[in-house]
Amino acid sequence: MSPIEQVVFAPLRKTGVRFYLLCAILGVLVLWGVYAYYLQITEGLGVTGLGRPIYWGIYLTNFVFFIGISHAGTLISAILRVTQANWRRPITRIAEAVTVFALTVGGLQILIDMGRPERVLNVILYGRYQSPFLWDFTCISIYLMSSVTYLYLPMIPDFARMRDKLTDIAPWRKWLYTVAALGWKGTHEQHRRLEKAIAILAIAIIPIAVSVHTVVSWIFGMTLQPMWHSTIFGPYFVVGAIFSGIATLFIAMAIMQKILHLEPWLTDKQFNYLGLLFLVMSVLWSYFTFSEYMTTFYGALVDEMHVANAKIFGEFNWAFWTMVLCNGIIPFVVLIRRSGRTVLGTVIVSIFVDIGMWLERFTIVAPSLTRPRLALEWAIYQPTWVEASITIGSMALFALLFVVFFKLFPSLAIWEVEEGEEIEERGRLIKKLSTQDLRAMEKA
Amino acid sequence: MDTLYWLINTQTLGGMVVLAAFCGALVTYIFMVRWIAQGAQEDHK
Repeated sequence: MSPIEQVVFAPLRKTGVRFYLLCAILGVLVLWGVYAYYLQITEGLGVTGLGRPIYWGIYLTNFVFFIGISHAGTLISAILRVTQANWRRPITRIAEAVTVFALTVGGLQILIDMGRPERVLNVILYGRYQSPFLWDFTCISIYLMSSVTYLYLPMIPDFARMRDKLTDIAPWRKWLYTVAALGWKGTHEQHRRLEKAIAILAIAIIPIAVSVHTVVSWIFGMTLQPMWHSTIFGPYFVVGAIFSGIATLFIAMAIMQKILHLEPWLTDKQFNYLGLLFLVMSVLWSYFTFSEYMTTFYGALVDEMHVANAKIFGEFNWAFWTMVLCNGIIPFVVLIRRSGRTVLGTVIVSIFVDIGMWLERFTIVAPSLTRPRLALEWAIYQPTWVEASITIGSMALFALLFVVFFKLFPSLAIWEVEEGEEIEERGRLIKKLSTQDLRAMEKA
Repeated sequence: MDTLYWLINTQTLGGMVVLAAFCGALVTYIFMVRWIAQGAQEDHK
């Protein structure tokens, strides 16, 4: 086995106590969330803080947040692949896994938000295409399928390696790797087809991912609720999605680097380059936020001002100002310097950004509903422990899926990393060659 | 204009569009994976 295979396959072959302990903790949190959901189903949505006119609360916040995180992966991975950024190779697998699990948990939030979840089928049975919900359904289902395929395709050669080289594993895992490898032999034609398919999918998935969060923003933007009916919500949501996606990716990368000993591949270079992209996204997000609030205040429409004042000076001001601090100020102060774009620096900023982006989604969803245009319908939204438990359970489910996935499958795209190392090595050799050598080679 | 109005406002038609998009993507990806798997035989030929 090559050095990379030894490191990457090691956690797949041996399971320590820490893994079971982590799974047990996450499992308990998930079960607690399931219990809260059971109460919600049996007692009704009355056990939550939801009700007229606040139909959407924390669950929709979670939905937008998780769908946003899902942009980490496939979109970033696809953009970096299309632009042939060589440093992307060790992070693509992690990014793509984040996407698939975030989409799964995000999609669940819609079912959780419904008092009668079985009625989700009505979208298919009675759906009319004028509804933004149907646009959402279309985009998210295609994005999930595309993301699963985009995660799976680069894994095929790795499945074949595991099939051939992991001899000391359970028979069912051997069978799983054999089936998933699709009889991969690593021939030239297979490689050509695989790389062509990945390239096509990488190009196709970028507009799909952009459409997903644009359409998510339109379930707000297409209504006439104060501060939802905004033309910039599409790009604002997409920028926020990539921003929170990178944050989650950084946290995942740092944890895996430490636990799975991936230091030789997840280096300072990845954290620095991705940190720069992170900084750009923070600045873009700040610009969109400023633009959104500036136009609201300048227009000063009465209904919109009620919501804006509630966010900035009223009952939601804690969320708004924490969001500004976490998403705008902290990332800028830390990431602007090269010394801030390290593993520790990016992870600290990422934790703040994930908190800040969740609060950003919350300040979009809740305040507008507490202050509808009819003042007699004004209400207060107070989430209950049931909503908090389901939220914690959802986050634990996301983490659990991630942990179990990387217990079964390699954390790096081994063949892609090896290919990248070869390219770098050739580049180094070419640099060493003198002009005379190159001329001699040309003549030959 | 009337046709467009009918298309976007007719019940079930929207659901069929969602299903068609989903199934279309699914079939495309299945064929893509099959095409990659068949690459081994092509090389052998």
